[in-house]
Amino acid sequence: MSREPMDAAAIASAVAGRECSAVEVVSASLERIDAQEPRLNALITVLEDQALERAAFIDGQVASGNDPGPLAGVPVVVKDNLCTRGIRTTCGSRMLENWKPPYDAAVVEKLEGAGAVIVGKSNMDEFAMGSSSEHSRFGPVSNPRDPSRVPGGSSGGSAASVAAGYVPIALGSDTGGSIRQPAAFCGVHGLKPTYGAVSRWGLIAFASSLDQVGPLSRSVVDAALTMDVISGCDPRDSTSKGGGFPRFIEGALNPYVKGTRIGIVREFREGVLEQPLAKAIEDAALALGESGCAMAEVSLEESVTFGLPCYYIISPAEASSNLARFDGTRYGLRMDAQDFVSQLLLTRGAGFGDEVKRRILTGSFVLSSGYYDAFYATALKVRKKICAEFDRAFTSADVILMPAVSSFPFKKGNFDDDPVGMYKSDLFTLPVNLAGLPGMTVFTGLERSGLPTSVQLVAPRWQDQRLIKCAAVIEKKFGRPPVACGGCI
Amino acid sequence: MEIDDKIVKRAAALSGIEIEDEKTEAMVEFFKELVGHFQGLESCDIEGMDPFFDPGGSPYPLRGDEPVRWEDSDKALEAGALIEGTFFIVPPISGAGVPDES
Repeated sequence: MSREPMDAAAIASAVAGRECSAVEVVSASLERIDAQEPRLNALITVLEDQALERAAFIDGQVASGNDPGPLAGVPVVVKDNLCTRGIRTTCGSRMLENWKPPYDAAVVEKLEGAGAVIVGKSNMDEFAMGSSSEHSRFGPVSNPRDPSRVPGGSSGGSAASVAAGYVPIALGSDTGGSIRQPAAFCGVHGLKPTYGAVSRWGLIAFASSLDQVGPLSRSVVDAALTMDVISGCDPRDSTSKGGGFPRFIEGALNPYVKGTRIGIVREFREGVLEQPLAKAIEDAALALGESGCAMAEVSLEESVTFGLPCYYIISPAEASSNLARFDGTRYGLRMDAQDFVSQLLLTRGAGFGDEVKRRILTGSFVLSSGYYDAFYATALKVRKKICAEFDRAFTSADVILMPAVSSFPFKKGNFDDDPVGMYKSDLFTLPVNLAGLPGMTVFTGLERSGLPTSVQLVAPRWQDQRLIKCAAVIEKKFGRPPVACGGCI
Repeated sequence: MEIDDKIVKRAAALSGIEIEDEKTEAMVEFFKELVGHFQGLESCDIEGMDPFFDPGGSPYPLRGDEPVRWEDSDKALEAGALIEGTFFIVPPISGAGVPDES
């Protein structure tokens, strides 16, 4: 078989057609991991034995004439906040360092049911709180495009795994940009689906009104293929609706966008971006225009002005509630103490890192008596205004074209003493979560420095297919993300 | 708004997290900066707005409230922090109204 990492669609076709075996594909993936992982630290757990066993099972399915599924033999990585039965699921935290869930997340069930083979659990910011993947119990992740820089976060390990060619597809979770920002920093595609499009059963919760699971990939077709597998209603997640989506793969293969109105955001035209990232927006608009799209100007002034404080009130408030379950009693770390309260304080003090503690304290503060109305209740109303602003923008645009990030990936340690400075790197992604919209980072090229440029596409709720179509047009113009740091072995 | 160590320690107590004395000052500074950003929301006109809770846009279907028999207790126990036989070990609770076993 080819030594070049293949995309998922090609792997599935080759395995089903017996051009190569799933064991060969998975072995090649494990070799790449073995070669690059000392430098990147993108994975917390590598599942070598389980993956080869699973690959052999897929080969057996093919040999016996059974349909192995649309992701037959495709090696995938899933973020380590997605539960995997009998395999430790750490959330990048000491609190869950050795915790093995007794069940699989819905998306893990679906991937495996479609023939995919999980080769690793990806490194991440602890409990998905961070934008650099530096805040992990298991050490920082390096960006495969430049290992002195961060890969973004919190799904930095997933993005790095795809960029480095470990796997063609990885799953991440996105609460305020945690798929789209690392996708932009590592130079791959990353899709956050509409809130409710993908089941979160088995996703360890951070902020429940914002969290969503989605794919990172090196091709739009692979993102579409993954969405076809993981989207849909799941009665075990009461927020999941799904159903009714057209087949994403058809949108990726036949991206007819003529007449689609593309909204260019007025506020992002005024010198807030590094120049190559601003040019990426212009070039993507041109590419979409050449395919018959019409351009319109839209305003997201309130989202830009109020999105950040609104998000950093609501998400810690929800996190403080969700993470209350880590009390040393039910699962995870337990520190010895004479009584429950002492044990609670000791366990949470030792189990959580500094950034998680900051966010839990912030959440408790904004929900506490005397501050609830001033902060939390106000933020909920501002959130409504942000949603209304997007609704207004979508009266004159079918898809919004905007940046995913304002700068190239920063150097490791850059924000060690400035946590609020780090929060600002989510400025362009988090309004999309507040409004429950689908958003996608699309790779647009590499600079001479080797660092990637990208754009973000945003659509109305349940119009995720529009993102796939527009992304396919942009990919056709700029090419697919190449594998970084010698991913070919 | 005045942010001081009393506010931070109250938030820590509500969170079930102990903040070491040497980290309190840094946490106070963090709170001051963050709350400064939060206060920017005061300039947003929210007159007449309802709070927003539901990004899904419509009521969520509720699961049927049906008890399910858990067949594999060993599997459930594996997820616990500490176990003994077929039970989770939970910490002792001390304080008013709880008899002292010693």
